[in-house]
Amino acid sequence: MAAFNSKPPKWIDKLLERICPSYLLEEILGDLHERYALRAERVGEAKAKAKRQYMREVMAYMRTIILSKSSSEYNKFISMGMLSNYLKVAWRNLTKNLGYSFINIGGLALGMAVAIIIGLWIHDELSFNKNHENYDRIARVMRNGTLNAETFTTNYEPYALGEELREKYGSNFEHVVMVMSVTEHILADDDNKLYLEGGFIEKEGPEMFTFNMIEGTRKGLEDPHSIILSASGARALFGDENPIDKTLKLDNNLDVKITGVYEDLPHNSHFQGISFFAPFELYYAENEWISLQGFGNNFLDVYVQISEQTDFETVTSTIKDVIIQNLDGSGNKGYLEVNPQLFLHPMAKWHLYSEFKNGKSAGGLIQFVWLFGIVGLFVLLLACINFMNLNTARSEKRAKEVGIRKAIGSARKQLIGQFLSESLLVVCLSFYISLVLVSVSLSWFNDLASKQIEMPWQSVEFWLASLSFILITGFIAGSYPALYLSSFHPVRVLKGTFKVGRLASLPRKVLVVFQFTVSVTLVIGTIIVFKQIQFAKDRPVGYTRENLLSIPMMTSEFHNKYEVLETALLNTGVVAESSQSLGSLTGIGSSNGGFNWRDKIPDFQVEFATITVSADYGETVGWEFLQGRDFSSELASDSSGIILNETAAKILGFENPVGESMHWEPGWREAKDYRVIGVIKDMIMQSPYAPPMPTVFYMDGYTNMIHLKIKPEVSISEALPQIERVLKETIPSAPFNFKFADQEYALKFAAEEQIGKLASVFAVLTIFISCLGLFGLASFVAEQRTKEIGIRKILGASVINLWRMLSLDFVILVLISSFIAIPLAYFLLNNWLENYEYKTEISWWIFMVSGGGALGITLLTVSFQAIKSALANPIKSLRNE
Amino acid sequence: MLLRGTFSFGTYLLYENRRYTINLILNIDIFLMRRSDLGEFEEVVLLTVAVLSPEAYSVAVAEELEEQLGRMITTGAVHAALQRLEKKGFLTSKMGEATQERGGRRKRLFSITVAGSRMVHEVREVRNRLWGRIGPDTLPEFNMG
Repeated sequence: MAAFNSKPPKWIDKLLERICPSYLLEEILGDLHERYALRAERVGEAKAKAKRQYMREVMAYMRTIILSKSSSEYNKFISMGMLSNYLKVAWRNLTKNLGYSFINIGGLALGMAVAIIIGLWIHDELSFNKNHENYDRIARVMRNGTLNAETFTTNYEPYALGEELREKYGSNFEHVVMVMSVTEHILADDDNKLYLEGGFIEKEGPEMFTFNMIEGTRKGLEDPHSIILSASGARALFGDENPIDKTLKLDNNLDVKITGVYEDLPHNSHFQGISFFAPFELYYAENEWISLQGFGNNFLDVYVQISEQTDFETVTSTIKDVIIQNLDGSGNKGYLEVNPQLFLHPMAKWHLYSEFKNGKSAGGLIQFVWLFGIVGLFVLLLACINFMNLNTARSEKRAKEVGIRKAIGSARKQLIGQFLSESLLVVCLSFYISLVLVSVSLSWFNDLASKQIEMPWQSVEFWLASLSFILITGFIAGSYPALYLSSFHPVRVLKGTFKVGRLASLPRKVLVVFQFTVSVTLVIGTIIVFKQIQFAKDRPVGYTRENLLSIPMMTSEFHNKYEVLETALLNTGVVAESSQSLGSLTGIGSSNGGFNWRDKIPDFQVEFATITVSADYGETVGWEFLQGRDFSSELASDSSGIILNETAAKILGFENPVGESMHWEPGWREAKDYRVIGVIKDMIMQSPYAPPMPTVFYMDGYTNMIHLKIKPEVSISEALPQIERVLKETIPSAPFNFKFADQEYALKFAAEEQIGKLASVFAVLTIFISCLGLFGLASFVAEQRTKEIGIRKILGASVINLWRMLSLDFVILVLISSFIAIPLAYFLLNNWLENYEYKTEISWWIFMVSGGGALGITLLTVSFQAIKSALANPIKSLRNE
Repeated sequence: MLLRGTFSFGTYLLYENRRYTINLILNIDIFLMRRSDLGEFEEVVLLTVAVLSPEAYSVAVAEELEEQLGRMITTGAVHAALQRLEKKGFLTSKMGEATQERGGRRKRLFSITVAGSRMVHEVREVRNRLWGRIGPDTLPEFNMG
């Protein structure tokens, strides 16, 4: 038998030792080795054959091994009996230390609630526009252009482009749909007049955007004198009556017949809130001149659905030069220099990637999806950290249990299983509580974030996600205690010589530092967001917003009867001033190039905001003059007068611009020479964070807005009914529709205020969760050192001494976190502020306040426990045992 | 060995104010065990154990069968059959001595129980009866080589 020396492969022995149940191992390995030796003897030197046969032998055993593994009584006994024991012990542990359990479960529930809410929010953000069936093939045609080496991006296109794409590039598209002037219009059913948001869309629009028709069909817009209404629009106009075939008057001059009603588009659709669509042909019939403007005048949206065989990149490269190819060298010279380039912006990106910088996508809301996603993850992580910290801190108390379990025969694997199932129990409880929290706070969150999120109780995905969420959280939260506790040495634990080393608390400290770093960073962030908002709010706006209201001039009657209206309004005694302008005070609706002046650098191109105003405009809005004078209705020459804002005056570069002349040749109206009569302080009409646009005010142009200044001594509630009465009497065709300038201006801060509010909520929550954890740790440490404190007291330590001793550890940790958080926050927020051209500075006091605040809260949290144990009677703590 | 896989379950019923205790003891092995459960391979393994007794263990049985049947028989297959037979109560086993070629490991020695003995006898009885009833010229001639 010694003829064959080689042994069977060692690794197979090792493998079997691992996977084979121990009661079978000996005989199986013995069999294998003996058989191998027998075969080896027979086949002599043909080792390879012996090895091959050996592998067959091993494989033949696998079935036995696997079957006995799963059916062994030994295993069954463990899984059933022990599981109930684990749960029992876990439950007893929870109820025995109610305080800790509350901190554990409450903190985790809070963290999970935040994570769920943020998850729902992200889901909502990502679901935008997916309700349109052709979602992945629809795009909007966008245009890049270059002015003074800076690329701008816009969605407005010329009418001719839609026709050109349809006729010459038709094979690339399934549909090309132009949409025009989506804004408020008057819809009138006899005397019932309403302002409804709507627009003109080409007849294929309902098909392309797959509107869900309740009445009529998607072909409803084929007749040029038709209109389709949204369900809510129809209800507003007709109540429960069937609106089909009824006639409406659109903007007081167009008769349209209702041919369809579509289901309201959901809140996460691009066309959300639009109450009607009228055929584009109707608009075109009234404004045929738009076809004469060629490719130079951009005023409508072009949406396309590309055909199945192609993709967005290919179509973009096909159509990018369409405008340039259609511009002629003479009339559009200036526009050719802008180099207009078309590209497709896919529907999937409309909502989250809506911003462009230098012609490239610059993100948009997606940044907030990331930001809040990360914040949510952090809040959850902080709650998990609490759980881990409290469990490991209490490990010494449970060390004896672990010791006994190990002595009786628990394998380490089983202990890990025990602690994981314990954490799973806690996570399940927390999840239940967090669901309650979420459903209670969801409506409040919807208000805050202006959303309409609902609890997806019915959704299978939600429950699947929740299940994996529970498992992952349970695993993360339970992994550290499970691995740590199960590593205890049983003999030492039971003998009482078990001592947690100095290093054992290190991971705990690291986790506390991490928690407070996140919290302090968030607090600093919140303060800076609010400071930025306040900074912009405090910015001088250059006009008076109070008591100022504006009324859109919706119909031609406003223009024809303006004088009558003005007199009547002034006669009421509540209106101090009345004037007209092009566009509202809180936005710039018109801008043009084509200006020339003395000493202008020839190639320098600049767009000025061009705003038509009436003579009383300045008086009404209360602008402030730096130089020169206001328009005057008495001077006929003022019709060629022009007023500049400060920025525009700087661009002109004259030391004394008043009296200089400006030549304006925009291309679409006759060239004319203007004379500068005054310079005003910049008025903040657009974003309060951006530098003001260079603006010129002139008198001889089109106006569409009436501004009324109410006398300061008259209250608004008194003035409004009077104004309404006059308006109704003078222009009965238009419903009374107005906006307050100060309210409109406040809306400019809405987005930032929303971020600020959300950020502050999250900051408060992170601080709260961190403190909860700290409180638990502090009380644990105090309890652990009860005897030490007792002895110290007996030896003469004062309460202050003890308080300092117990608090110092935590104070140091929080100080370290502050030192990490401050540069981190500085870096992040500096980046954020880079987005704004008009921005606050990050001053040192913010860091002091945040760091100090964190320290203060820490002291408060820890002191409660420290003082409580320092005041305790030492006899009580030393007597027992 | 018959009591493997025992499952007991106790409850009581209240019927006309008297309490009837019900104890259910299910022995799955007994329920499943029927005569027909002896497979062909199990039968030859059982017989080989009888041949090799008292030195019958997996490797010896496998070697013997390999010689008798003329094809490769793995120890694993024999081991599985032995386990099954033991579970059915036809075999009983004890650990034997260790040998050098087993790497100092002990082997499991099998011997036939009374039930096993009855089983092989019954099987033989059935076969004999069948052989006895085959007519003289029914089976075609062939060369046993």
